Amino acid sequence: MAALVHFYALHSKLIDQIGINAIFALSLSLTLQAGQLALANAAFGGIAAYVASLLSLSRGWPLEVTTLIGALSAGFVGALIGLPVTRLRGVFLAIATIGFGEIALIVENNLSVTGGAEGLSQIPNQTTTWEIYLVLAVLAFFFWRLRSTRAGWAIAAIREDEFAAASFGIDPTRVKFWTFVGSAVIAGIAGSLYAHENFFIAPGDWGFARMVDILVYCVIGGAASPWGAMIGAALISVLPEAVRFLHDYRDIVDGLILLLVVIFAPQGIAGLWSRDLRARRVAEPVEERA
Amino acid sequence: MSTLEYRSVGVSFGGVHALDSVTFQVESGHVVGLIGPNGAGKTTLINVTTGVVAPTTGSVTLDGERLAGRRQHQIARAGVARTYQNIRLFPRMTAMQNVIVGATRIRHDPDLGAFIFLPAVRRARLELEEHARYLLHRVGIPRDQWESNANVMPYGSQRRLEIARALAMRPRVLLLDEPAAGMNPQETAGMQALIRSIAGEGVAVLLVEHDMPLVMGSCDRVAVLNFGELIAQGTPGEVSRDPAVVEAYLGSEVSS
Ligand SMILES: Nc1ncnc2c1ncn2[C@@H]1O[C@H](COP(=O)(O)OP(=O)(O)O)[C@@H](O)[C@H]1O
Ligand SMILES: [Mg+2]
Repeated sequence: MAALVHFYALHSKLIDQIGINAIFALSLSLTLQAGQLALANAAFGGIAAYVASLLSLSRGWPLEVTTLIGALSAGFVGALIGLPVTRLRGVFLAIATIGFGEIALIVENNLSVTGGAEGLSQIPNQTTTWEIYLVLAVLAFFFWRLRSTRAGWAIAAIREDEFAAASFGIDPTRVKFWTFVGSAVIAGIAGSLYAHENFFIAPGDWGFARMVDILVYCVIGGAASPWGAMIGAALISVLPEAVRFLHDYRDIVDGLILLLVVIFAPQGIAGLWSRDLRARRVAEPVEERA
Repeated sequence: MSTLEYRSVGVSFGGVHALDSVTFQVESGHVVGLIGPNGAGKTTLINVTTGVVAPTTGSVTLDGERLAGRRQHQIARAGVARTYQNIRLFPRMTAMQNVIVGATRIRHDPDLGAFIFLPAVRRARLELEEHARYLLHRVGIPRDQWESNANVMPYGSQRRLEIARALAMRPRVLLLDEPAAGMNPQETAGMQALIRSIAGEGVAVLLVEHDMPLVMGSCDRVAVLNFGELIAQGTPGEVSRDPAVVEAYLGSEVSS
């Protein structure tokens, strides 16, 4: 027990970061589950972080309230841009959402209320480890249960073939819109928790580099798997800390891992796991197609 | 009783008239065969019915309710199910999962119930799985393939799975696009029995097929398309004696 307390005292910052990154990873995994490559989660995290931080700085409201309002604001912005953007497919969706992220950065850099390039500082340090992991647990439960619902099946069907899904009464536009909004809300929660963990935030915290980090968590974990996303986030967050000398080469190591995963395990960690399971269950003969 | 009705349906792609003033109907409990050479417009007619392609002229109605002009998922919700000539299963889902997706819209368990472990939701899921197994059995997919991913199933099973997935929707209208393609005579006979039993449940079935014995054996009526035009319709016997049909087919297959 004493050892555990000692471990936590030493690594509490890292433990918090792992949790927040895992929430970011889950947010992206929601759109990935519907087969959409939307890359605005860092931007949504930023929007919520600014809204929540401004509220806690000016009003002194508690973290739960500011985070909720921040996340809903991110969801609202997500709904506004989601209406046109979720009609785009594949790489066009990716480009449009990256573009949105850049616009958000420019706005944050130039508004006086967001503190411009300096950002906001003296944000109260309200985020606690248990709250981060409570949110993570609730989200994990949500994703676990979602799979068996109609909405969960619709999401999976759209990932597989949205055209075929539509011929079974599933409305692809609607499902893609709501996964996009949900993804923005979850990213917003992560953003607010991050802001109240770090004392200060700046536009640069929510740029493309951050988005790539989140994408790497999911790709390593297995693009469409929430479990994989969380494991990927933990792995990539811990690695530079665990192997000290890697710290300075963080980005290079991230890039290398990403490259290796894409080449050798395109389904990520979750894919390795389920491929193994399936191989054990049935070895089905594949007949020639006529 | 449901009636699917085509009135003067025309479709043109650029300058090509894929369908030209097609008028006929399919009643519930009946199987109507739709035959014609490759490129005659058979698949296009299914696409018009399901909202994939908008008709240039004319109307498609189900019990007087307009289908054409509505979106794909709305038409499906009205009770129109289809299979795809170029198989379009959910490739990385198992046979079971494909059928369960087919039932997405007819499930009545509340989504929120899953989050609070409502017993009714669990019961509904078990019933759904039971029904999926019944359908897989009914279309004749061997039990050892039920948990295989669709993309590794034998070709014949994939065609059957297309039908099971469509039936999971409990459709009023079923549009089959060459369901027996690539099947041997024995399998085709099984397909005939299956199609008859589906119609026997009151479904209006449109069967697009090249296999003449199957068409003759399972259809109440047959409509013949040639270059987008309906050149004949009637009972299988009438159609196979129709000179225009014999000519379109160069007198080869129809008489067999
Ligand atoms: N989406 C489309 N765009 C352009 N031409 C098409 C399209 N779909 C079908 N066609 C054309 O319409 C004609 C009828 O095709 P189709 O309905 O697939 O015939 P069938 O199913 O009877 O073999 C063909 O000439 C085909 O090339
Ligand atoms: Mg065709």
